[in-house]
Amino acid sequence: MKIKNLEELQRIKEESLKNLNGRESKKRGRVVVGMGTCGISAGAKDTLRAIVDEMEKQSIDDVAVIQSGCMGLCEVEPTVEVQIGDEEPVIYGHVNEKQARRIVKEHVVKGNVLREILVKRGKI
Amino acid sequence: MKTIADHVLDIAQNSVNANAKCVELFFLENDDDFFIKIKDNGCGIDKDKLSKVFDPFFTTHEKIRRVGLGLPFLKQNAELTGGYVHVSSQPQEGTILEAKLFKMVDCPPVGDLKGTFATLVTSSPNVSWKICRCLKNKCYDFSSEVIKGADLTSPSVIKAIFEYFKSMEYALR
Repeated sequence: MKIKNLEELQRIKEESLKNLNGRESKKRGRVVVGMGTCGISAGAKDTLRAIVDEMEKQSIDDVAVIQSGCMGLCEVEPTVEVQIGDEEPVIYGHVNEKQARRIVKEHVVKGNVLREILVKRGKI
Repeated sequence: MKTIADHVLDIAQNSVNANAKCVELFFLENDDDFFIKIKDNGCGIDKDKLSKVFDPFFTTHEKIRRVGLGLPFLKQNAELTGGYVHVSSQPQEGTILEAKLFKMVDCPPVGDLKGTFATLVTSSPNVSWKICRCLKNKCYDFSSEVIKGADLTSPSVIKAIFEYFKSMEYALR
């Protein structure tokens, strides 16, 4: 997908509005990227982009991607929290672009928790 | 912070946290310098706190952490280049930040501005952004009005916004 001008961006917006009005507005989960000073300096922007890119590649649009501030886990930034359905939230640390794509492919798609980069389970 | 774009992303989020409804962001780049202006209509900063914004051990988020490094980092990097950071504010009205960095050996690289802009405009559905980016005499403007109402948590929408800024930046160069 290449967005070259404002018209194309507006078209994406219209499509998104249509989806919002339909049943698709119900999300089955969320992925939260920590975007505080600590996260940004550790590369959270690239993490966010990798997550969005991989989710688009996998045609996932029923999981919300949300940015948050500092969650108090500055030492393991970039951090990503994944919560699918009623499951307990899972927080991953040191999430670079490669790990971000793995989180989407393994956790968001298949429901497998990635133990080696797991920092915490449950709400902060 | 490795790049100026990282600083802008970090500092502009202060406006979001200040519950601003509208944030205007100017990023002007010339042969010799960068000028950044961020103007918001958020909660503002009272006089007492304004004198502490560059103190790294001052934060209004004490429950989460004990430091507030965003502005001190930017000030340090700006002053290393011979530039400055000015913050003025009126409580209940808003805050204006102006920063200048001169292009010299100690100046950080400009970095991924397209990613910064895309991340900012998708960071909160409650904030309306106006962005003006110039590289010498070439400029582009963005207003959140064009994406108003869109689902900013949707991966395809966020991706589209990243792609949009990518093409805008490409056209400048």
